[in-house]
Amino acid sequence: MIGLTSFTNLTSVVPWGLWVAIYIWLVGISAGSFALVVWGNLKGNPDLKKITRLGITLSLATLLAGLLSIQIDLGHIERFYKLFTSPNPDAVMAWMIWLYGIYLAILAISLLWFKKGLSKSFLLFSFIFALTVILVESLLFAKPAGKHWHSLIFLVHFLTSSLVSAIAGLILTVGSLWAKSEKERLLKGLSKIALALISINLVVEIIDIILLKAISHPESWFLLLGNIIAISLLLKPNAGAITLAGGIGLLEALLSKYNSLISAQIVEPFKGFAQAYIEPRLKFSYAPNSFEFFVAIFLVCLAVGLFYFLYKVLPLTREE
Amino acid sequence: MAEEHSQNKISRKDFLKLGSAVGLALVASSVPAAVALAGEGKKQDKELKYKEGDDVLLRMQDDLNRALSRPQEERRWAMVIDLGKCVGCFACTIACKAENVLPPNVVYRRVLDLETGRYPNPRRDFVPLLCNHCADAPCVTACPVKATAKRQDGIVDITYEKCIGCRACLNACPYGARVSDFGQFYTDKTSRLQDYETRPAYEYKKARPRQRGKSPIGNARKCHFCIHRIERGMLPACVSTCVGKATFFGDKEDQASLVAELIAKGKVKRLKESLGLNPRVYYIGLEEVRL
Repeated sequence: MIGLTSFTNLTSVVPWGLWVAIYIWLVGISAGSFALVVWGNLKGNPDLKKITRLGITLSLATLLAGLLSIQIDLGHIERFYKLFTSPNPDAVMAWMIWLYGIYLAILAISLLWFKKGLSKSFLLFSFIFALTVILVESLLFAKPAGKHWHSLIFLVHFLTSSLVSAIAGLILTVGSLWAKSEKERLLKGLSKIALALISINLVVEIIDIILLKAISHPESWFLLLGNIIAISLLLKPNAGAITLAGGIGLLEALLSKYNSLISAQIVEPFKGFAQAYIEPRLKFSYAPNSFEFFVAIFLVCLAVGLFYFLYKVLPLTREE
Repeated sequence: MAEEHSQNKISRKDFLKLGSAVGLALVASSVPAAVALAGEGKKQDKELKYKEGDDVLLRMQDDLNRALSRPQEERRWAMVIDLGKCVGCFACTIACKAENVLPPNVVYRRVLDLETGRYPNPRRDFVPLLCNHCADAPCVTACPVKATAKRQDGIVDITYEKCIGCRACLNACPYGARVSDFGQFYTDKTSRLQDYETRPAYEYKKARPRQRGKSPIGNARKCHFCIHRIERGMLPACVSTCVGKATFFGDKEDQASLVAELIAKGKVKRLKESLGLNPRVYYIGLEEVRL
């Protein structure tokens, strides 16, 4: 059995494409939203406290869809189990799998026992663990010495864009599902957190763009524009604008992750390397094909569907 | 102008003189080596020291046989490439493709063709690139399932049946030496796949006919120093086909080997040495190339 990669536009130069971007984006939303709601409980933030179960459910749905996206990206899907049976303790990817296992358990415990009350030490551990998931995931990309990810700012940017996608995801779900009576007040509270996170992310993104000498790239300006539009919408006091800002924040985070993932891979290890041997799947460019787009849309729909299913099954917005 | 031209012109007589001298010199230089090889036999071979003009393939074959007589953990295979001798014929690339039955989009040995400098000092260099079999290989560290591992003799190999195809090793390699096999055939979209594409490859000493859904399709792939050849007493395909005799292979732990001798001369450099990965592919004349 082989993976679906044969049907993609992936190359040996860009072996990680749209599906990996979707994976890091979804896992970023998952770990970020969990970290935020747990932090809200630790600090006693009333808005984040109120949406704790919603946040945990969002984390669970996006994590499961994210893990599926990385599984279908494998060249040999049927050998996925080898990550558990013969893991390499030196590999960041093996650590990721172990972390996801523990993280899934934490999410399940949090979801099931939340009503009974979770201890402060468990919440603190969960908060640190969620941030660890993001940071270890970023190490997967920061480690390759031959690639442009090899900078400290990438780790910081990875964290800030994950937190932006998380708060944007929370805003979008609250804006779409929460009861009208409380929605506006809740969204106003969340928009303040979003404003702070997007502003920090904007600064980090500017530094990243300057360091990568990507100021002339149109996608850099597109990303900066996304941040600015989201900030200006968050400053408006109505629920619709804030919800829209959430949608834009989510999209901006996805594009940001896609951009840093792809552009960093298109680096010649030596001058003239691209011309040394020319074949279609050795070329120094990448654009996803329609199959990759369809699968990516399916993965996002799966995350939304999974979330909606859990939302219907569990009393997410009613009991608090 | 015409006068100047006639002064620089070599007359037919001078040309014949020069030709005869060069011819005699060539014959004279080859006679002792031929006599030594034909007359003195095997004993002489062992004492042979590499000199310009000697048959390096014979010397390397001898080195290989000696290395194979020792246990694997005592060998450290290494390759030395003399850039001054590489003629840029790409025979190594083609030989590697044929030896390992490599499909489209899979290449183990590329040759950089670099044109640098400006008139009146332009230069053209050829730099063969392959897996460097680093002692501290980042691909080994990156592989989440231990499919890529370092053998005792220093070769970084891939267990195709273990590889999950995550391609983490491709991004980890700073030399761009690894490729992914996406499962293409040269005769895709034709009435039938041709036999030359489905015949077995003997990489890692196992016969694998190329079949859809089976490894190495879906795996990461790279140069393995032709393990299947060297362990049967044959030099890697790129070495034995090198037209300029620019590629040398052997056990660098064996002080009598040609590669050990070339490395010991101190004129070798390795690619991206600053990364501290301790690669096992050495280059002669690399400092002159503007990479």
